[in-house]
Amino acid sequence: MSPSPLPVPGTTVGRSVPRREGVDKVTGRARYTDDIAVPGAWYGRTIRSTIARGVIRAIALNPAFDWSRIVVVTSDDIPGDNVVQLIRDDQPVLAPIRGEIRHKEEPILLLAAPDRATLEEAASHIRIEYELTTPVSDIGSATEVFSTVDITKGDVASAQGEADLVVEREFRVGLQEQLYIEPQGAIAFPEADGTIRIIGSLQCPYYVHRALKRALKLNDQQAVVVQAETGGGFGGKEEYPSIVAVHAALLARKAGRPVRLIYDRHEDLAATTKRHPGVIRHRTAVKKDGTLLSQDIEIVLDGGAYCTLTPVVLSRAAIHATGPYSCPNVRIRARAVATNTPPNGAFRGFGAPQSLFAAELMVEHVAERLGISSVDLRRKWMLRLGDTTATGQVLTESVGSELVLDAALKAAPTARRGRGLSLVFHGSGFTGSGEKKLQGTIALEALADGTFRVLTASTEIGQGTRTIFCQLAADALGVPLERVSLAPQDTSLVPDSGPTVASRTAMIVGRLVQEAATEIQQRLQRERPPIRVEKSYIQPESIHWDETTYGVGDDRRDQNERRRLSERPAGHLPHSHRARRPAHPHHSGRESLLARPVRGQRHRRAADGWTGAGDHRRHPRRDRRLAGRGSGHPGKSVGRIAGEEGRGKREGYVPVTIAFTINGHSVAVEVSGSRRLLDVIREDLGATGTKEGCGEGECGACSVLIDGEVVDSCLIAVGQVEGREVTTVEGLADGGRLTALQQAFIAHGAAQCGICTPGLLLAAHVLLQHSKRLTADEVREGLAGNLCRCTGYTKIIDAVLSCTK
Amino acid sequence: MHKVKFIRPTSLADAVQIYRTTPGCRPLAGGTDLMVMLHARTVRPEPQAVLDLWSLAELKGVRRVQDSVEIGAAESYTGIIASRDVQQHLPALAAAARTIGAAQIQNRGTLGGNLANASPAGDTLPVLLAYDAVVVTDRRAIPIDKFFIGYRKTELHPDELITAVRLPLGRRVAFRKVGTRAAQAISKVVMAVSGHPARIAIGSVAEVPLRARRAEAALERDDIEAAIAAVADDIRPIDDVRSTAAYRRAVTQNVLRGLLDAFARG
Repeated sequence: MSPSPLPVPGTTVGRSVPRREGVDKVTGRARYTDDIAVPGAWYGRTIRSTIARGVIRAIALNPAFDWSRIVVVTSDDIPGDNVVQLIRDDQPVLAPIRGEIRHKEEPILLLAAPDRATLEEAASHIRIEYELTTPVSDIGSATEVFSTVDITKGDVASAQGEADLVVEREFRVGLQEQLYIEPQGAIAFPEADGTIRIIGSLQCPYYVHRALKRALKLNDQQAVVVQAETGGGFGGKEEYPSIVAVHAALLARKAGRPVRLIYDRHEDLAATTKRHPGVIRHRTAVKKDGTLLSQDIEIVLDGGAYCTLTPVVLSRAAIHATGPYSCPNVRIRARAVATNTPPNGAFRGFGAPQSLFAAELMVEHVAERLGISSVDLRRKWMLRLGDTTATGQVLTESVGSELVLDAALKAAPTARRGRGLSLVFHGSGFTGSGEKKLQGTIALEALADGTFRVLTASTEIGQGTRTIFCQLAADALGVPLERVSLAPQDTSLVPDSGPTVASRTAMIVGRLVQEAATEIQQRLQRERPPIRVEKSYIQPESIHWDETTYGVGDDRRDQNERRRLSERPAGHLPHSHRARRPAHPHHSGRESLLARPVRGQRHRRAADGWTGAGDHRRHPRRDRRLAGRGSGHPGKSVGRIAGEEGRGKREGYVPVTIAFTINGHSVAVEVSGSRRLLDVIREDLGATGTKEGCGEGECGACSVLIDGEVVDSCLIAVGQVEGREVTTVEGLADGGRLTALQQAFIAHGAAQCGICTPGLLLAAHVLLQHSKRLTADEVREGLAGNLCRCTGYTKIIDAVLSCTK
Repeated sequence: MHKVKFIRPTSLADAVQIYRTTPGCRPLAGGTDLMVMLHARTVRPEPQAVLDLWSLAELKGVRRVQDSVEIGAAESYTGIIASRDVQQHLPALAAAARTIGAAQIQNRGTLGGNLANASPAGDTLPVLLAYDAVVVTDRRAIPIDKFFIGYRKTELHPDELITAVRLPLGRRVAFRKVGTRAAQAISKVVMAVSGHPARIAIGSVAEVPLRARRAEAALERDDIEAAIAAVADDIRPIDDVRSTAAYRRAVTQNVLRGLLDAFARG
């Protein structure tokens, strides 16, 4: 018998390879939107409504203030339609003058000024008068309906009549913030021919492209959208960046110069979209032995003041409402309503977490009433091969429920502590017949020099897109990974492969890349490069989906199943719920493309679930290593740096000269002593590896070392570092050689979107300086001041532990 | 716009003098609260000067003074946690300091700041109450139970600087904080308890960090059940973004039971 041959193509997929931009992310070289220095750019700001509902009676600009240095944009300055292009034309770019206000924080005016101090002062000279109307503040009092979904299978009424027990419960889920560590932001560049170029933090370049064309009346070529390195999205940067970009564009157009519009954490939290709150009612009919007879489910989601993506979110909530269980009789009635609250929108899971949360608690309630173990009940109810879902999909391939349940039970310790379990499924790919409508398109080029280039609009937001596409193409082409590159996500270069959402990047767009690569590989046998191949999504004939009846066929290409099992301290009464050892076996169909990112995604999803369950209340609420600029004599005083030029100039300070050492170089800055060290490092010294995530000492993204101790540089007055030694991420690598820790971060996939990476590296660096023997718990405690939204921390902890002896 | 002056005093005497004579002057230590407010321009009245106390040697350090441990007002929590005297004599203070923020905050946060800020959620404040600490200022010594006089209001005069905190030796105090997560959390309930003398001090359950006097009286009689019942009446919790009054009340009773049980077990 001959040995099985090595696969010719297919050597790359499934192998863990370092992510493409890994080195940039661990050295602080990766440029996120606010890291991009634009000489001559003005600062933009949004003036928002302070009321939830009413009419703007008057907008008054104080005549005593000098407005000549300020650009003010109102709805009258919008050349195109005053509409944020998405599903429904209900959301204005700016509330019309004397028009209606539908929610707090609704954008009314835009300002731009040459510096922040002038901008702040201008904002304080604006008075807006309103005529108040009583707002609709919650689901209970809402009357306006955005959309409805009805799904019926079998006959719920008769099933209830035959039941031994009918259990009824109501569940409420609250708002949830995506909390990407990099706040929203965009920079707009007006060009002489009327083109407006946007560089921003965003998931979906073509959403922004369409919004720009519509509001600014631009043609396909005049609107150019480029994605900067993006510090996390989680859905929060799916539709909202259209608003930020259009605002920046309007300001830039009127100012005739580039304008940067970067939100701080407060504005981001207050104004941008959240996960939809909801009320979900279940009426479940069972027999004494636990046999599931019917599920009668009512879902009401709060869309907020405007439609955004709400109908699609509702659709996903309804499709997942039964949980991963087989039930002969199902009725799902779902509706999304309008309230006078900031619009809700996309967030990882997209409606499903709300309804799955209710479905899983319902299993527990029914089990309790029946006196059966909820594990046994799940095993009895769970979907298996050959079962039919509520939407009529017959499961004909790979259903992993049994597998994951067993794995979860095996992984979960059986100690005295309480145990919790949830079984969920989640569809991949755009909801309903979305893929058919989107018809995502990609291109692949074989270039004359023997290299290949993938062109897609799918963005890298931490999940590994840049690496995955290159792996898929290299694999199908049978060439080394190094010969495949990815074109930048720039709408003037790449075709519209659709939004970067719903796991469709790897599932759908990845498949197109594979198909294109296969075609090129075949054509290369008889043709010479350059060759360019474009591929668009064509819905397979086996998939049928009817938007009106909500049923029949595959509503999704793949049914993933996940399960979470965790221990919780059982304590006799409530103290705090802390998941001690979550285990989350995961069945994702075929073995993962890219082992490392998938692992991170999984841990993070699990953590998203935890935060969701705990959060039921409203919470309204320049790349240059520091070569001592100008001197180039490391270690020697480089003289005075005239601080606060251009960026962030504040007039009202008494300047002092502060001399300190940064990354081994002596610097002296002339600034206000109470200015934040963070701002001096980023803006005056141009070391943008140190990031601002929250400005409150909560997230640790701005961590630096002062005399070897880790601190949040947003909480340090620069006057306090006089004579001290400051180390930033740029100072870690020695002469361009990465430290073992930086290498470990890359090797373990501990840097995903990368925005938290510099801060984490510094915190971990200190830990390793103090002790070379660390336990996982010590690492966890040592890094507790640094938030990461991508990895779920596991890979970060592994990376640090790998550097211990 | 305001001209904010940044003043770096050369000694404590210099700082005291400047603070007494400079109008609109705000002392700055580790900056974990004040820097956020300065940046957001929410400090009222708007400060005209910031007095940096962080690097004054006189305000640093932990030392034994007769029957007490004296901690400099600007000593960091990291320094407090590392102090052998604190570990040996004031383990509850070390425990409280460890629950504050994470490394970044512990490297900058100070007892002086926690006291002057007087947040009802200040994590070290119940511990200081349970130890009957004394707040030492540039002119006097203030017993801790006279220090908090209202929501974020203290007994300090407008020109008075905290220089140190004194805690007695030989008292057993137990500490527990309940927050949303282990690190970086503002407490829902934070408690420190001493058996002899009976001290039950609680944060985040009223407008000030308070001592539960009725519960203390019951504890003095060794009536644990009465103490647990009484503590619910001693506190004045509210519903806010972090928790509800009902939850705080239930948790206060549970935490008190837990801490007293731990005492009983020795």
